[in-house]
Amino acid sequence: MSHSLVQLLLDPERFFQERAEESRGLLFPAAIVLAIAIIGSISAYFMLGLTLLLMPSSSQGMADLIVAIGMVSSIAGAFIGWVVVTAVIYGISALLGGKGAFRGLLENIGWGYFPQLFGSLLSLIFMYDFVSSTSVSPVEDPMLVAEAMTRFMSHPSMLSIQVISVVFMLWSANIWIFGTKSARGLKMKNAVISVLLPIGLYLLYMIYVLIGYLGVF
Amino acid sequence: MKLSYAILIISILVLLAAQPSIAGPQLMVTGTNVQPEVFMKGDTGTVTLMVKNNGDSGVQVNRATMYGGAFSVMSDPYPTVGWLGAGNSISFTFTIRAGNEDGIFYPRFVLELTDGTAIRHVIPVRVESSDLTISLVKKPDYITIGRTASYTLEIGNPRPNAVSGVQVIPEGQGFEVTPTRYFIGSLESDHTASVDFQVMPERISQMRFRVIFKNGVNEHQNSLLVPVVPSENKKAAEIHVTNLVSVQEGERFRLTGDVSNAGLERANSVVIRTEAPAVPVDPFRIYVVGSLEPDDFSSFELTFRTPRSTQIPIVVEYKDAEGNRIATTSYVDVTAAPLSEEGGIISKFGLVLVWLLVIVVVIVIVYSWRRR
Repeated sequence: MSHSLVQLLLDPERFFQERAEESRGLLFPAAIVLAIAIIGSISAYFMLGLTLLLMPSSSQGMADLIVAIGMVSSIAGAFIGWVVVTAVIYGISALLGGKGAFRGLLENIGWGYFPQLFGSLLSLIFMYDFVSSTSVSPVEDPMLVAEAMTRFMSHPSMLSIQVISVVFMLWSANIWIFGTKSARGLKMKNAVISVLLPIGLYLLYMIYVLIGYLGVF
Repeated sequence: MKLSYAILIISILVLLAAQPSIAGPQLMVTGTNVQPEVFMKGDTGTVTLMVKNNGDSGVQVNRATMYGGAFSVMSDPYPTVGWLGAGNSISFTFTIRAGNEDGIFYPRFVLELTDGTAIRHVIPVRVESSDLTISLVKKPDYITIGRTASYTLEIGNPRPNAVSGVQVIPEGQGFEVTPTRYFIGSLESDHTASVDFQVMPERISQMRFRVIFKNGVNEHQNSLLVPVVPSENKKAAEIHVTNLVSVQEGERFRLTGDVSNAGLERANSVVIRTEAPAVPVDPFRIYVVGSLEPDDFSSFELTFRTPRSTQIPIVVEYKDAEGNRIATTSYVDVTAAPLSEEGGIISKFGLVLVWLLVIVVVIVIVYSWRRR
């Protein structure tokens, strides 16, 4: 398995060709997404914990509930995101002559999340480092909360997390191209379009937000 | 010489021997006493007459009566006085009340004897209604709210007689005054007495100094109205807080600044502190400057915590020359930085790591395409 995962990262086309010959299963892709979801929820726990400290003491009674909802949402969001990304790529690829089943594409897209497991771990380390080195004072003025959030997001650690997210998303997109080609029986060109059109738009949006936090706009 | 003295002595003896002896009773009014000495309009007092029998025999006295004239005689006549022996005296006291007119009046005393004769005597009684005078002889140039100032009154007695039980009572609302009553006691004619009151105003008000005195048994009063208008003490210490700089040190704020005295009087026991919502913390919960001379300044430092960005009251307390505690409050805006980053180990090298990562991922992606 470890050999296959290295192959997934370095030679995804061969990985999916070999996977196409084996029996298909969603267990491992789902495990990858679940692992990412759990790590993401821990990051969300840190993030929400820090954000809630900004709130006045009168709002602190709801803190546990908010954090719990945030963590559950993070886990659910990862799986929903997996399905949505697959659906969008499936739809575009269908317009470009894609033939394969949705389940096969879902499996390949799930495998494609694998690089993001490293990205999530790295983000978690950056998040922990940022949270543990930051003290937060409660503020009551909504303007100050907004200002604090802007400062929060423009902190080098948080910007690094954004960049990591973009980079590992690119890596995933690269794997998704080969996964889509394999699952949907597309030509490489159409597979690239199917993946890069939605993911590219998403990445452009993320880069736009990132530049916004850097104060360019 | 001796012969001259002898002649003189003999002549006196001869003259004494030639004087006819007084036979029978001889009544005389030997003295009168009027209380009070000088009446005021409407005053009640007494007239006492001493009657002595200077004769060599007693006499039956029938009735003693006082006729007041302008005075009302409040007491009844003595209906049957009785026997007054030779050389004996008897006193008669009558209560009289003055009318509503000043002047000198002459109540008449009549002593009737049983033989139908009577002796009469008039007593001059003076009525003069001049009051005690009240003069404000000293007051502060200005009086400020919360500060004590001294007011000096002079009570004068222009009356021809002494008055007793003189006391001065300050009355009114909107100020505190000590003493609350000043007892002078007796005040002789044409004399004055000075009294000091310490007044601390709370607002614009009127202070009435009421002077109560007694003329005999009659209580009288006079009063003086004094406006109490607090104003600014033109010489007072003026405390200003400037150059305020607050620095957040973790959860604690360190506030530095200068406190200056722009007034003309010294500010004593100057103490600087913060008030809620700030919570003073060590090491500078308060800052004691001590005395601050006019045109002088002192730097200070305070440390406190505050849960949020807000205005923090900076209270400067000091005492004036009279020991009155005065407080002035300034405000400083404190922006509690919501985020205070010290910078973790990873974040210091974060960008380097990220760029390395970008390079690695690009290499991997290129590699995966070259493997085709």
